Amino acid sequence: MIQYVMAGLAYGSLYALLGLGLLLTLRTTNVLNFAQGELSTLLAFVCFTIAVTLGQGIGWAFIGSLIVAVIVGLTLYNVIIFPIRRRDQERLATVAISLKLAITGLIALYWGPESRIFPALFDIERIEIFGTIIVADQVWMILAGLIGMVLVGVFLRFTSLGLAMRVAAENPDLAQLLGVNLRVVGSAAWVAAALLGSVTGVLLASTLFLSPFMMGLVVLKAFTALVIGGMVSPFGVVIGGLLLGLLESFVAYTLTPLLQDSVGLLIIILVLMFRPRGLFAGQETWRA
Amino acid sequence: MRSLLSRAKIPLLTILAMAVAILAASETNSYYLYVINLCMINAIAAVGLVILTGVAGQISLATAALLAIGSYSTAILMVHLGLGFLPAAVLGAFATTAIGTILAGPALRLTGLHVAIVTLAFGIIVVQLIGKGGTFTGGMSGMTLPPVTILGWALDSEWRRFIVILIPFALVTAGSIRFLRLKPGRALRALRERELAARTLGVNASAYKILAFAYASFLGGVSGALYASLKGYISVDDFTLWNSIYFFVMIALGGMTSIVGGIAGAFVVTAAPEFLRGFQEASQAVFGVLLFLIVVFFPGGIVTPFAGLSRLLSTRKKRAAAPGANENPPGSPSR
Amino acid sequence: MDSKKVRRTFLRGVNGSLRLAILSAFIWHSAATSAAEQTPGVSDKEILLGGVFPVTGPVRFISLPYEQAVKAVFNKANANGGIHGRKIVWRVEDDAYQPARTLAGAKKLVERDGVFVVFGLVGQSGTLAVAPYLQRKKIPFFTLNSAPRPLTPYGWGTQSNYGDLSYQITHYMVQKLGLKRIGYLYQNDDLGSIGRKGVDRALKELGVKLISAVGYERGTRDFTTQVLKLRDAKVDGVVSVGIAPSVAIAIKQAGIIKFKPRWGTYGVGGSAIVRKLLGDGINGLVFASDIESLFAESADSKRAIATIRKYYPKAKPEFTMFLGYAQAQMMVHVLRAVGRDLTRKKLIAALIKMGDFKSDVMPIRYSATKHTAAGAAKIYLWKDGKAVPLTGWRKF
Repeated sequence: MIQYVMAGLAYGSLYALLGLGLLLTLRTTNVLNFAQGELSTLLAFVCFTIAVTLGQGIGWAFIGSLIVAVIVGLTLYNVIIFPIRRRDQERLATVAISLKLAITGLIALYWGPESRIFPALFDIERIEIFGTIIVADQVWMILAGLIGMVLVGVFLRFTSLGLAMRVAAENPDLAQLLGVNLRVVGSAAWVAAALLGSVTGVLLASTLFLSPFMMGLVVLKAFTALVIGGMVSPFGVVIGGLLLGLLESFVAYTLTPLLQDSVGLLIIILVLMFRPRGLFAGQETWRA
Repeated sequence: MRSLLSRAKIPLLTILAMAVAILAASETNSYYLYVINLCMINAIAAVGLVILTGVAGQISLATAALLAIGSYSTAILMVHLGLGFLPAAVLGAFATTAIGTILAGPALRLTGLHVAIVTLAFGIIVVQLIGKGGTFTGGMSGMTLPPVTILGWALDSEWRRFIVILIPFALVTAGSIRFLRLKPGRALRALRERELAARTLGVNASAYKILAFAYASFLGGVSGALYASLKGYISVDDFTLWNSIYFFVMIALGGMTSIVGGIAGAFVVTAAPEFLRGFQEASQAVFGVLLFLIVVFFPGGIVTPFAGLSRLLSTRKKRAAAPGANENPPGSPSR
Repeated sequence: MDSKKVRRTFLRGVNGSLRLAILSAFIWHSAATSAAEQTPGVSDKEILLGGVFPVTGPVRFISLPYEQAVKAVFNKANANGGIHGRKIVWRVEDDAYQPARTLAGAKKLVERDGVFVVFGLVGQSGTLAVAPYLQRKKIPFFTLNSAPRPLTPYGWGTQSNYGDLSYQITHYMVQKLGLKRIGYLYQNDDLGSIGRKGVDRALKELGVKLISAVGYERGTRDFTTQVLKLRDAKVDGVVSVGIAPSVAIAIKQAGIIKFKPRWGTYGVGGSAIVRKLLGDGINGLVFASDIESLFAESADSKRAIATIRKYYPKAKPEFTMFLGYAQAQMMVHVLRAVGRDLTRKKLIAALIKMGDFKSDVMPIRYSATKHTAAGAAKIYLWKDGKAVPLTGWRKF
């Protein structure tokens, strides 16, 4: 039983992290980043190249991928998004969708379509506590999730850049009047999304295996997390992600694993039909 | 009715001329006709999406699911109930309209991106359900349609299928353009631009949103039924999320709000992979990058050059007639 | 005013795109070679074959090794004088695993390029999408899949029915390995349901009940919940039917929670991905395969790999490679059997008469009633990182 819970929390953490990435780019730059999954995959491949092809070992590779994430985030935002930021959401969504197509095609072209083994992060496979086996990879996912959530939360609440982001999300014009540089804030959001993507991509690849198409279903679940958070509340997104992970495990445990993947989609439909503001309408820390 | 026909006459003639030309060029060549048939089928659904997303502003990523419902209803009615193609297709289109309009429910209270996400989820779930349908839907193995005949006329050549697809295509195109000019169409457009103002002026937003969904669903169903007859065999692999995304891309390429643009976009997206065959492994990347460039640099869609040309010509005429005439800016829903 | 503008722009738009279509049609057509031979695809110096399968997309990792193997075999045949003086030319079109495009590609190959036969179809939905068209045109076609009934008389398959393989492995696991509590882990699509039939058939024959059946959707990557369920059902043997990465990950994750039943599967057990992903964890896995395993270290498989590596030194081994190799060898064999006077009718006659043919890596048998190449299966066991055959070829 506890193993189902662990699995649920682990994957829930991944959904939460990706969902946070989606939230940041959505609220700060008005783009629903359909390409978040592909971004994640790309950075995981970069990590793989540094670790295996260049033989640097996973530790340096991970740091390397984070650095590349910063560069990619900055580039994506400043070169592509910022110039067209005044367009309406549909146009921006279209750009994100075409990015999705382009990035997938390019990854498959450059690295090839086959699946690859991704180096394990640490050499531990399992941890035994009082006779119960805990899967180590899941522990890393939960830890990464916690750290990520805390970092993002602290960033938004206690740093001036975070404050600027929140103001910009609420009211871009007011923010500009107050002297907030939208470019800086937007860049920060995209860099954050890229970093979060890098972490999730690497975690996923090391647990399973690396493939250009590995994020297919996962990012849809991040959308669910986003929706549960009403698309405004980071707290909501995080809880949403974890909740989804647990629900999936629960459904698999009590009914059948076959319905696991439909859970997220159903939740999207139900939440948007009955509670479009999300389940945490009062918790919009953007306001605090 | 007459004006409808006259409007449809010239494009119909053009298509017929083209088909005759192709036919003359090679008697047994069904490859080009097949691709064109596919383009027209996709164009029908794209027109519906233009009305729904471009004009009424409801972003929908469920188009492939609508086609799925249309295709599978037709197939199920033909296979399990022994209906002929025509009645099955008609019933299938209505079934699709009914199910697709359900989406209007959540859309009524939601805005842009929420609608996008809900349609995204709906689109995937519908197809997943179809895949779990066991022997009723063929499950994951798909369904094969019995030979299609319409009023005793067997659709056993690409040429015949071309004619059968051409008729709805022309009707839908002409009809939709006309629809946009009539009151419901204008109301939809008004909704998108200024919902609050429209409501104040007495426009019943909810009713029109439902109408938009119904319209798009109906066309999706028609498209789906024709798709099933074109291929003869359907499976869930025909209706994936990527297919919905491609439909969205079609109208985005065409400028979102333009029926003509949507059709052009449908032709381009459907036929482009055929042109890109030479690129082999790189074709997906090439397509994605090209698409990305077009979307970023031509926000009004690929029809903008055409629109620009038309504006230029009419501006010249107007300048000759009366200076200072006001023209519509590009990308606004004027067609 | 408005309506005139509407009409003009509409006409321009439609005309524009349609003229593009006409123009391109003419350009294509004038560039195409004439296909007005007595037998299409057969010229004095060449035999033109055409295939449609994923060149881009998620399924590419299966079709790339296949493509390389086929090309290697054809290249070798061409280097050795070809087929009665004719060289084999194999044209490949992409369908990105979309059945609508499979059909487009097939039509192009048949009508524009004038291929002799369609050789090279992968994936059931793609094969079924083109089957009616090719049957109507009376063009023989060769698919990697097994041949479900609608494919005769012009369709010829390669792989055995997965049900036959799952039958064999289940039977072996119960009878020879003495496992009493069998579980079934399956991908929830036609692959899994066909596999289930074989499992059920074997269990029924042996009077054993299936303890637990746990499924997953196509595309699932994590199997934590699935292996937990199997563990809780206390099975001592699991028959696993799904694509290679799925089979591998499930075993790996089961190992992590110290759930180690006896694992059995069909041909994918010999997949390079499985071996890579499991490392030493692969030892103990048994599988039933209708082709020689890449990792069997037999003279036959070594020879096949050498041939492929000669033309594609960087080819990454995958079991579909051997399937392609066998299928291509069959093609070369049967084309030769017809002789210099090559027509479609004669080809079909030769196929029907073929009987048993041992390609280097696969026993093949075609007949009037048997349109699936796979003739027999072998059970392998992974031991010390090598695939060791436990049985000889047992005919279906």
